[in-house]
Amino acid sequence: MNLIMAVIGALAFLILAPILGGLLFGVDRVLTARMQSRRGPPLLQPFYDLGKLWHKEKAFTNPVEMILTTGYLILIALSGAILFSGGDLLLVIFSLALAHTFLILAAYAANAPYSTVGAERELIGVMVSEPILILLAAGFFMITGSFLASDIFAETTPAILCLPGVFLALFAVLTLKLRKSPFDISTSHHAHQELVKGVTSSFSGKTLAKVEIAHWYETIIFLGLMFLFFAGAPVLGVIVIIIAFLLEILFDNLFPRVTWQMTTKSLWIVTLLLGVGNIAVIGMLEALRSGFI
Amino acid sequence: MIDLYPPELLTIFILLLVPIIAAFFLAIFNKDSIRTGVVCIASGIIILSSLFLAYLAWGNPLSIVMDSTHEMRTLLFFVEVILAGIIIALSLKYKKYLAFALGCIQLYLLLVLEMMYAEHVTVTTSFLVNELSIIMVLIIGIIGTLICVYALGYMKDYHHHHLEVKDRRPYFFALLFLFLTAMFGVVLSNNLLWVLGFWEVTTLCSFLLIGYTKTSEATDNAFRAVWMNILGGIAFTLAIIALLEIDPNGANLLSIENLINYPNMAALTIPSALIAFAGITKAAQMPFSTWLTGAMVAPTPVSALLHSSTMVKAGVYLLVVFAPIFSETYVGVALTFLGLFTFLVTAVLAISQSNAKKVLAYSTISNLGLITACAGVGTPEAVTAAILLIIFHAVAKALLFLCVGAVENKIGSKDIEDMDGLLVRLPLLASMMVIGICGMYLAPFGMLISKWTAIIAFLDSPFGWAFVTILAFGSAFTLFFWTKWLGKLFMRMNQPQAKHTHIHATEKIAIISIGALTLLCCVGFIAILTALINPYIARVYTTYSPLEGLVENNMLILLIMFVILAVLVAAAHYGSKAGHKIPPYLCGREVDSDGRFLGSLGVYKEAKSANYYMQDYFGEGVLLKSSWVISLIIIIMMFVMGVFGVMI
Repeated sequence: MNLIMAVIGALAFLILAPILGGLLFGVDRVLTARMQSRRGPPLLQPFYDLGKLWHKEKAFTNPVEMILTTGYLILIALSGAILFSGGDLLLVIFSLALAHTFLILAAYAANAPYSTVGAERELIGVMVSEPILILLAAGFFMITGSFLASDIFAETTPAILCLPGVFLALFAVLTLKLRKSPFDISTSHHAHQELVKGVTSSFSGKTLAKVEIAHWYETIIFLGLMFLFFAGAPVLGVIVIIIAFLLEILFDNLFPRVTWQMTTKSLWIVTLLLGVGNIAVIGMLEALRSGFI
Repeated sequence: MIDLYPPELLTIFILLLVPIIAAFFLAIFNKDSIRTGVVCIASGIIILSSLFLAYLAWGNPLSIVMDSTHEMRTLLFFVEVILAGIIIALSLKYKKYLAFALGCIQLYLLLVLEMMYAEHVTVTTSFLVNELSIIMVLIIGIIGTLICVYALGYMKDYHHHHLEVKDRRPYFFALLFLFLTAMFGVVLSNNLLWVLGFWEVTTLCSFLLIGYTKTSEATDNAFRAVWMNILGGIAFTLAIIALLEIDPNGANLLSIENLINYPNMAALTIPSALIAFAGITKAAQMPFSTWLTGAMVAPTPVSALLHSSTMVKAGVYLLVVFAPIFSETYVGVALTFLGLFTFLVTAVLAISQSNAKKVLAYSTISNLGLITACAGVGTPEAVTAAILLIIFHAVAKALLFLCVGAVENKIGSKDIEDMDGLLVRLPLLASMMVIGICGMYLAPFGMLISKWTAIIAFLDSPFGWAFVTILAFGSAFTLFFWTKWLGKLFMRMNQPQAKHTHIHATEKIAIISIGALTLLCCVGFIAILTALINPYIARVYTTYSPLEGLVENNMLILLIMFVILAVLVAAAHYGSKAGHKIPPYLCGREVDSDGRFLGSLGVYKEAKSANYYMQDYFGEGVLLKSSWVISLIIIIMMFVMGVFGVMI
């Protein structure tokens, strides 16, 4: 029974996540346009873009990049499948890191300085978000005694009550993961110049399409991680996630010029204050209860 | 006569004596063919004997009682005195007074130990071969000898490129093999007095090997290594004296077997703090990291040996053996904090380095920090993680050092910035390097599995939240410096293959074997866990049931990841490369077929880009001094906790 549920979860993720992710970005583009008093593209524009990319000529600077981006897409999808089949959170995190390594290597392999800079900045992005992800897994383990997403989701009290700091830190990292801020980090949604497009500046056609789909998958993974905080209160969870997503769009339009240095510093301050602070409180309460101190 | 010696004792004798005999021949004969012959034959014998010993002891650990323990002890005592004498004489010759003073103190303590205490000591079990020693014997026996084989080809090239260094290969190879004997002695002896003897031999060997080139830098670094390690030796000697003071009959506490089962742990905090200190110095933890980073002046096989299978592994081996004593004491907590602090700081320092050997050195110290931390936690899960880390680190790090050494001989640089496009310039070496780097930090390879186990172990211990926090940040930095190195190998792959790609057969054999071992250990980690580590843990911690959940829940997914990676690598090799090859995108500038862009003055120029090193934040100048202060404070705290015998 468990196995069947796991397979259903994984399959549902693999099929539905790109659709949902694409729609979310459609909404994002419409809302952003409205905030800037523009009309904006149709809701389904991300899918039209993808379709167009898919039919472009197969062109590359280095054939390796096709394999590497395929690896990126497959591993991101695998990470999500592990999460939505109720698997180990640490494994999800490690698998995500492996996936990003593939994207970064693809950018390095493009032989061009712009994509190299993009690769380095993407790497900084991964480095910045890694601690909060491990702290998130640690936090869930401390309150539920398990790293398994299925166990965590079977809890009846929402984890948000114990882990508000970790949740907020994750929300902060979401800005980075949605490619909103900083504007000068790799593959930002704000294409003003080559440096900004970084990682993807040398990709075209299907290669770029794969990166785009992987991005949709990743967004759903992060929203899924947020949803884990609301085990036992799914309706509340959906509402909070929708609000969080709208807030991200609003922040993006309020602070369009955050640089990667600012992001690194501010995200680590948030991680240290909220994430680590939260874990420390839980850890010390636990120690007090079991009489270690 | 043969009847008197059971096969296991004979095998141990072979492991201890064959390297010495080989060293003797290597020291006498300075002819390439003889040297190659001796090294290969001795290596073959050592590898086979290690495997045979593992076979003998597998499933039923051996406690071997020897008749002539007293003679052995006297012999080792004389060896120790001679070693101390050599170090004292050399430090006088080179006017290194710190090493001289510490050497004298060490000699004095040895005499005190021998004259006042050791007379009454009887330890019945001479050699102890349990699963942990098997693992260590296999690491030393297989990886250590492969490094010696590699050195055959490497040193030929080395002296070809470094004409200023006097060719003293007989001396060099003799020391390499002597080192192996000493390491076998450390991991097989049950009597702490013997362990101390072999321990001192490793100190001397590393000292002489680091100073091989005799340049002033090499001499300075060699003496730095020796004074730091003598400090550890002094702590070790004091620990033995303290143990004898606790129980003057000695018989119980000088035997590792009995020591870890000693019922009154609270009485052992002082010796355990001293042992911890000895382990820290040898494992190059902060603030003693500089001896290992300085050791890279020696030829690469020395670094490979020091970092992967010998020397530093002796330090962490000692800590892992004593791990049960650290559990539930504040000495252990301090040790964990020191290890994790080292893990974090050296991962950060590694970001700022572009010298490949230095990056490897910092990464070694960082990983040893994690092992130290696990030993300090001392729970069964933590020791499992520590042993896994020892194994995976040994293979991957040996592979990386051998690759960097061979690459240096080919491209004339060990700077990572010069390694761009290495995958097309030196395909074999670069592919092996990729395996090594992936083995050091990426899923589903070994180090990551170990780190995973470590996270679980930390979370179950007091202060777990703090341990995991430091680990989380340290992992992020680790990811950064490895990935940017990996990226370099993939950069600018539009270059031609290097002109001199010929690699000596010995180098090739060693590198490919260790590369295969790295993959094999990762694929077969479940087998290692169930066949070797779990039985060891079950013997040491009688109330413990092994980590089954970890394996069962995730093995399938790890396998899927392996398959995905294998398919991707195969696709990269054999897949269709059809398509329109376009020049790299350089902001609309015109680009020629070699990937150079048309500059403003009408000249084609190479587009170059370098990695981030962030010297202003992460440089040695910024971080080293303050880390010394912090780590010293932690060590002082450890001793204070030890003196007061504070238990959790």
